[in-house]
Amino acid sequence: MTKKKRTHPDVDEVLSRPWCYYCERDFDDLKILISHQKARHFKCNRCNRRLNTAGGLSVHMTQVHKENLDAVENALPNRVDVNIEIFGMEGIPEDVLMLHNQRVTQQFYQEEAERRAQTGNPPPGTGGRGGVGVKRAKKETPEEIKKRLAEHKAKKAAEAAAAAAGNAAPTPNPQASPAANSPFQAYPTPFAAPQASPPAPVYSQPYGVLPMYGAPQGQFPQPGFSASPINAPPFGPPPGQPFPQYSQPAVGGYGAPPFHQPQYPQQAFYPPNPNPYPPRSQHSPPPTADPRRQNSLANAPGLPQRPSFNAPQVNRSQLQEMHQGHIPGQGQPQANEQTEQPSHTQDGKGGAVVPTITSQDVDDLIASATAAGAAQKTELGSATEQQTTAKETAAAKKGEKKGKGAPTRLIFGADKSEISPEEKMAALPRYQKMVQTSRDKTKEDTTTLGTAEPMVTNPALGSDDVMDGQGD
Amino acid sequence: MSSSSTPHDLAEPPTDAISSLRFSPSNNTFAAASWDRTISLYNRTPETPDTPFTFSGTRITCRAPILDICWGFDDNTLYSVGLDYDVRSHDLQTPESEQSVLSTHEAASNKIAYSAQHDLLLSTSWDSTLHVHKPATGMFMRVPLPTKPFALSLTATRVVIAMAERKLWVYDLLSLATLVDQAGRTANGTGPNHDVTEIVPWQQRESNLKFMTRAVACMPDGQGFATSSIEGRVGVEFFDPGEQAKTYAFKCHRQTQTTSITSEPGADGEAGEQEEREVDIVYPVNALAFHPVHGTFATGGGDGVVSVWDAQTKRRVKQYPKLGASVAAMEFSGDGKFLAIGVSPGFEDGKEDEEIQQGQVKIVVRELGENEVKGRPAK
Repeated sequence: MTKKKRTHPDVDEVLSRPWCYYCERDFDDLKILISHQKARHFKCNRCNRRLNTAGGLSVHMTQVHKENLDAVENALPNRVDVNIEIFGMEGIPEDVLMLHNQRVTQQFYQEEAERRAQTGNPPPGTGGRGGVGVKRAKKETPEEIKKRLAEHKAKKAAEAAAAAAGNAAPTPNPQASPAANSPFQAYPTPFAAPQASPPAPVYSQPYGVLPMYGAPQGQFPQPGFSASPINAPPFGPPPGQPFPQYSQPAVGGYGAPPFHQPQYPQQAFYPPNPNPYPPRSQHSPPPTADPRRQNSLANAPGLPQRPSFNAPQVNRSQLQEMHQGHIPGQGQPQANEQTEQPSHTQDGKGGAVVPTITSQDVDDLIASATAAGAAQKTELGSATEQQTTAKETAAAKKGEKKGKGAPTRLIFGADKSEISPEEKMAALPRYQKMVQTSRDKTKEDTTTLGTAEPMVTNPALGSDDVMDGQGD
Repeated sequence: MSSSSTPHDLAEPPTDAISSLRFSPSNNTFAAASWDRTISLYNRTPETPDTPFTFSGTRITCRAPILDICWGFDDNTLYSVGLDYDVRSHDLQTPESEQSVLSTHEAASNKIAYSAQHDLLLSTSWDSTLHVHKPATGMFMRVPLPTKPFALSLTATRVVIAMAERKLWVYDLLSLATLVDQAGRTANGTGPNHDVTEIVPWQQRESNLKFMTRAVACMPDGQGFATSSIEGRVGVEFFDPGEQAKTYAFKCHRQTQTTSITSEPGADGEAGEQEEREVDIVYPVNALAFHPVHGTFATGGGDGVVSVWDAQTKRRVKQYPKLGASVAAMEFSGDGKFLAIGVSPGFEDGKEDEEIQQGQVKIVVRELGENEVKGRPAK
C-alpha cells in the first residue's frame, strides 16, 4: 500500500523555511528570498539598482544620489533600521529569530488544531474519537432539532388543514362527472366584463367582482389548486379545436366571441404553466362542472350559468397527498403566495386566487397559513441562527487566521462608547476652564457648558480584546 | 527609502495639541489650529530649502480651543470652529485679524469645511446639527443630523458627513446652496434651534467600518471617499450605487507587540502559563488626506506613522518612519507639493491624562518628490 499523501508540512518544515527579516514573509528557497530582498527592500528608487544589503543601498544612495537612507522600504514599522546588515537569512538578530520561530510554531499548532476541529480528525496517535467529534455534533444538534420541530409542526398544520378542507367539500371524482354540462356553457359570466382591458386585469377583475363563484372552489383552499380551474374553464381552447358549445353561447350571449380567441391564446395559459394538470385540450370531458356541484349551488337568477370552476383531474387521494406534501415538502409554507403566485402571474391570472375561497375555507386557509407561517418562522429563525453561527465561527476563524492568533488591543475606543477623542479631551478640566471663560464673555448661560456627553476617563484598554474579521 | 523626502520640523509650533492643518488656496500659507486656542500661520519660504515654511508671526488667539479651521475663497479669510460653539470668520487683512461670528451651535462645533464652487461654509457640531452658511450673504440655516457628527469632507458637488452609529450621509451641495438662499436667515446665530430645516440627504449610507469613524476624505475626482476609524482600519467607498462592489476596507496602523501575559490553555497544550504572546496594538487612524494630483491618499495614525496608499490598486505606496507622537492632522497642499503633518500626543495614543510637553507638538512638512506619492501599478 502506498503511503498516504501528506498535505500539510510538519513543524520542522515550516520552521526551516527561509523568511525575510524586513517583512516576515517566508519563501520556498533562500535564492528567492534574496531576490525578494533585493527587489523589495534593497532597491534604489532613483535608479532602480538592486543592492545586496541595506548598508549597500545606503552607501549607494549617499554616493550616487547624495541622499540619506533613513529607512528600509516596504519593511514592517519596527524593522526599518538601516544599520542592521541583513542578507538572506544572515544577520537577523537572535531575539528576532527566536521570536519568529516562536510565532511560526505557535501559528503552526494553532492551524493544526483548527484543521482538526474542522475536519474532525483526531490527532495522530490518539486513534479513536477525540473530543472534537463531540464538539461537532454539539454544534449542529440544536438547529437540527429546531428544524425538525418546525417541519413537524408544518406537516401537522398542513394535515389538519387538508383534513378540514376534505371534510368541508369532499373532492369529487372528476372521472365520474360526465361531460353533461359542458364547461363552455358555464364559461360566459365571469369573463363577460373584460372586453376592453388587457389580459391580466381582465382575469382578476371578473373573479373579483363575482366572489360567489368562488364557492365551488371551496375545497381547494390551496391556491395551487384554485389555480387549476383556470385550466378548466375554456377560454383558451386551441384554435381549431371543435368546441361548438363554447363559441355558441359566447356569440349569442356576449357578442364578442372573436375577441376571446385571439386575446387569450392557448399558449398563454399552458406552456409557461408549471401546473401539474394536463392542458385543457386533453381532458375536456372530465373537468366540467359535476352534478354534485351543480346541486349544491343554485344558479343565480338572471345570471348565466355558473362557470365550471371545478376540480382538476386530481382524485382525492392525490389531492390529500398534495395537501400534505405541499407545505412541509417544499419547506416554504408561504408557498401560497410565494411559490404559487408566479405561476398565476405567468398565466396572467394573478388576481384570481383570493375570491375563489369560501368563508369556511378562508378559515382553514388562515389556520393553515398561520400554522405554516409560524412553522416557517421558526424554521427561518433556526436557519438564520444557523447562518449567523456559521458566520460567526467563520469570522472568528478568519480573525484568528488574520491576526495570526494575536489578540488585538485598541489604543482608543475599546469601550465603543462613540465618544470621540476630541470630546474626551474637551471634557478635561484644563479645556473646560477655557470654555468657561469664553462662555462667560458672551454673557450666556454658563451653567450648561461643555459637551453634553458624559466624561469617560478610562477607555478600559486591554480588557476588551477585539477580534473581528471585518473588512479586508 | 530612496525617494523619501526629508521631513522638516517647523520652528515655533503651537504649544498644545494640533487639531487642524490647512493650506491656503494659493498654497503660500498654511494655518495650524491648536487646542491652545491659537491659529498659527506659516508662510512659504522658497529661498530657505531647509524650512519650506516658516512661522509668519501671526498667531490668532481665540477664546476657546479650536477644533477645526478652513480657508475661505482666498488667502485672506479663515474660518474656525471650536469649543466656544461659534463659527468664526477671521479677516486676515485687518491687522488684528478681525473675528466675526457667523453662527452659534448649541454645543462645541467640531468640523468645518468650505466649498469654493458653491461659496458654502459647512460646520458640524456635537449637538447633532449642521450649519450651512453662505458667507457672501451672511445667510445660514440649521440642518438637523440624526446623530453626532465626527467628520466632514467635500467634493466639488457633495458633502460627506460621518456620524455616530456608522452613519454616513451625503448631501448635495447645490441643493444646500439653493436652500440656504431660500430658507436661510441672517441672524447672528444666537438663540435656540427652532428654525431647523430638515433636508433629505442625497445618499444615506452605512460605513463599512464597524468602529467609530475618525476621519473622512473625498477623492479629488469626486468618485468616492475614504473613511478611517479608531480601530486601525480604512474603508474606501464610492458614491455610485453601481460601484458598491468596489468598496473595501483594510487594516493599517497596527503594531504587533510582544507582551508577557498569562495565556489561557493554548493550542499547543501549555496551560495557563506566563508566556510571551503577541498582541496586535491597534491605533486609531486620525487623519486622512488625498493627494490632489495623484489621487493617492495618506493616513496618519495614533502610532505616529504616515502611510500613503493607492486607492485604485489597493497598494501601499509609502510608509514614513514613525514620528514622536500621534498624527493628529495632515494635509496635502493644493498643488500636491507638500505634505503637512501635525504631531501631538493625546487621546489617540492612549496618553490622555498627561499634560502636553513642549517639543512633543510638532508640525512636520515634507516637500514631496515628483513621484514620491504617485500611485503604483497593480500587482
